Amino acid sequence: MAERRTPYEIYWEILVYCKTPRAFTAIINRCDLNSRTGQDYISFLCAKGYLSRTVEGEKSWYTTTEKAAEYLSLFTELYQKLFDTIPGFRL
Amino acid sequence: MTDETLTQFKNELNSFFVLVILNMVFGALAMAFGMQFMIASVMGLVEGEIPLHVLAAAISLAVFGLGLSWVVSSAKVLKGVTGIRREFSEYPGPVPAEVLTGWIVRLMTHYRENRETIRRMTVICALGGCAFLAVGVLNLIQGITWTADANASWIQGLPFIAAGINLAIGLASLLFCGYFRRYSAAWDLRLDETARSETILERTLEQQ
Repeated sequence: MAERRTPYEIYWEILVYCKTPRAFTAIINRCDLNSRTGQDYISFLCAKGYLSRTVEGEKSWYTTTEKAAEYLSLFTELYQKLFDTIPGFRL
Repeated sequence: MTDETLTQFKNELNSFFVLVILNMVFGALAMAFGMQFMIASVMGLVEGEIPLHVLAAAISLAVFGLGLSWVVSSAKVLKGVTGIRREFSEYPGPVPAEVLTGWIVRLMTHYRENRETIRRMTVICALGGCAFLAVGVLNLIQGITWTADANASWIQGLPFIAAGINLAIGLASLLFCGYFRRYSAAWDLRLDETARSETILERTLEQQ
């Protein structure tokens, strides 16, 4: 399923899910990613400053930062705009 | 924008769901008619005219196969839509923008995965429609031939009812084929739009 999504869609899913702090395994389970690709996406978002990492004992928690707000609102706007084009039939 | 998009999303999801369900029904009917004609043709072998009955049985078998692929393709497409539709109908209260966007992403993924199946359904739907129209025309010919008989009873008018049913299903299938085309065209356009959106999103990510 994951390969049918674009990286931008996966970034968006991770960022929305991490609005409340989440563990790595929860993120990859929820976003249907394997641990290697999940690590790549999360590292990218952390490097961009869109995700912050908090370490508590042996566990790490990832939380979406304020910096991601622009990306999230732009993504929402662009994807909702897709429904301006309609198939033009109703059953 | 969310309210308008939500209404559009809901209408489209429901229309597509009904369209696929109706296709499953028509596919099942094509299977049933194919099987019925096949049995009739095989039983007719004992009455003679073997080549004609063998040909009829072969055509019936093809119609049965067409119906089967019609049902299988519809079921495959339906699988992804029902999950989103259920979540949508069970969602309590107003739908936030990010939840709606999540459903749009899932529908987009579903279309990417089933693009070829939906295109194939357009063809199957057209073929099925033509098959039903052909059977309807045959019923009409049969009815006209039988009623020309001076000793005809009311039972010999039954092919006209069968013709009416088959012609109606055939025309509806061709109409649905048009709907599938429109659906595919709208979603192809959306996928093109997504490719353009990716450039904008990439630029946003690079700026940070």
